[in-house]
Amino acid sequence: MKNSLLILFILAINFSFAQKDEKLNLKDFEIPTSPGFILLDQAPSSIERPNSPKAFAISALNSFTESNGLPQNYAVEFTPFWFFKHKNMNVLKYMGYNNKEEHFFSAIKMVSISMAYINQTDSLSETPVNNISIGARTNLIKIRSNNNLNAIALANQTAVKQLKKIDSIIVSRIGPGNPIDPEAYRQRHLQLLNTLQDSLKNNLSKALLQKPIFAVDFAIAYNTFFTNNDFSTQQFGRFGTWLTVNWSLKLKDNSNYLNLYAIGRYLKDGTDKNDIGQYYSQSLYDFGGKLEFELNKFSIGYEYIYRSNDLIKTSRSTGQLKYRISDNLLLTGAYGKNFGDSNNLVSMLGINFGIATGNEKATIE
Amino acid sequence: MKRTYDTGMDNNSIKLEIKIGTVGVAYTASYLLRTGGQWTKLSESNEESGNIADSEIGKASYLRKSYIIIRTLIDLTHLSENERQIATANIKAEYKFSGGFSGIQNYNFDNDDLTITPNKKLVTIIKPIEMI
Repeated sequence: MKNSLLILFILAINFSFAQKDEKLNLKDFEIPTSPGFILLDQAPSSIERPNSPKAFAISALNSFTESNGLPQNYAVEFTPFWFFKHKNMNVLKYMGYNNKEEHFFSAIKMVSISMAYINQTDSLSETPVNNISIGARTNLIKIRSNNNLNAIALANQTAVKQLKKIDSIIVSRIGPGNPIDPEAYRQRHLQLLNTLQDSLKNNLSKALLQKPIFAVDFAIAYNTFFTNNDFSTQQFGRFGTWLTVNWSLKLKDNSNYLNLYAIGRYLKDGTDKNDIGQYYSQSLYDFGGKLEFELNKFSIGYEYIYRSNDLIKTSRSTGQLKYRISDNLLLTGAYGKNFGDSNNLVSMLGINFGIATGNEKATIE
Repeated sequence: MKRTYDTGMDNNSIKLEIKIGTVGVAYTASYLLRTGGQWTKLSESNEESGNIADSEIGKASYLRKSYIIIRTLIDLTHLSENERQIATANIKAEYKFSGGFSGIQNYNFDNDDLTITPNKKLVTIIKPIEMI
């Protein structure tokens, strides 16, 4: 059973990657915040929003309490937007801005879909529990500051001017093209491009790095689980849908922020057993918030979520630390109390790392 | 890959429309190239996109026996390495000629029209159309 789930997970990775030779880079790994992890309260933080949906990301998560050397929980997440051609797309539309006004709902198109594989142990029977979760999330509303919008517009203008200049230099040296001998023209053209591309300033990246001042994100996830590595034990686990509202206040430069989050979540939970040992479903409602300081490579945050229904009143209280060791290596950890009265220790470590077996293929069409 | 467009009667007004679909910053310019290498810029895109709106590029008698070269430069430096790889594969370009004997002709770019720098930060599409 466990092998079957692993095969399913690997197939999911192969589906997301395609045919061109491309190593899976460290950058492809992301902090474990996919909806599948969050649904099962297995993410370092239950309140999180991605800065920009990546085309493809893998999460690996380990738990200090169950650590045996290798991460036990994995998720793969991809953004369909990146895998299709968009006829009328341009850079400003992609960024949700048209040089005059911001399109607050433009980021909905960047919906990402994820699948998570999570190993747990039943606290009563000590039997292994294998969870499969699928989820999706997207940004519903994004509002950037006027300064940020101006910076984007200016960066775009500069980039277009740079391209125009490069074009005029090439055309003045070798003409606009050579239909009689296109291959010879191509070679000279590429040489010039390689030289001239260094003049591209990439101010857009800096402008895009700045966080929106206000954002609303939506996520939905569904989970099923198996016990004792037996397929016939398949059981509904959880279904959840939640909204996260985020305010970001820039403190000093583009890398220092005070972030304030609020979350509201509906959860249908089928993981508890009644007195006669049968699983039953119950509806739960979560409300909470999070305060986070982002200071260059380091961030620290605290979150509190209250969960309730007619019978249950419980809460989750955790602190999180993140440290960006390098552009390609990110360490994230959490410590605190999870929901419930037992087996409720949160102690996690997630790290971005790469796989380079030489067999990874990426494509993308 | 070179394509051809039949301009027809001398008085025909030939129009060109260009639509570029990309998440990169794009700039497009169309040139008239005559035998012997003389060239003239006909039209160019603005700062919003690499598109050029449907507009006349000349009479058939002026354009016949020349090439229209459409050059698009795309800057992908604001994307990550993987995103650049994907964005390069997902570029869409449509060139619509109208007004001549060939009527409305839509062309797309071919693989040999594409030039990509090794780090994939800069992409160009050069589409030659022979006007006959």
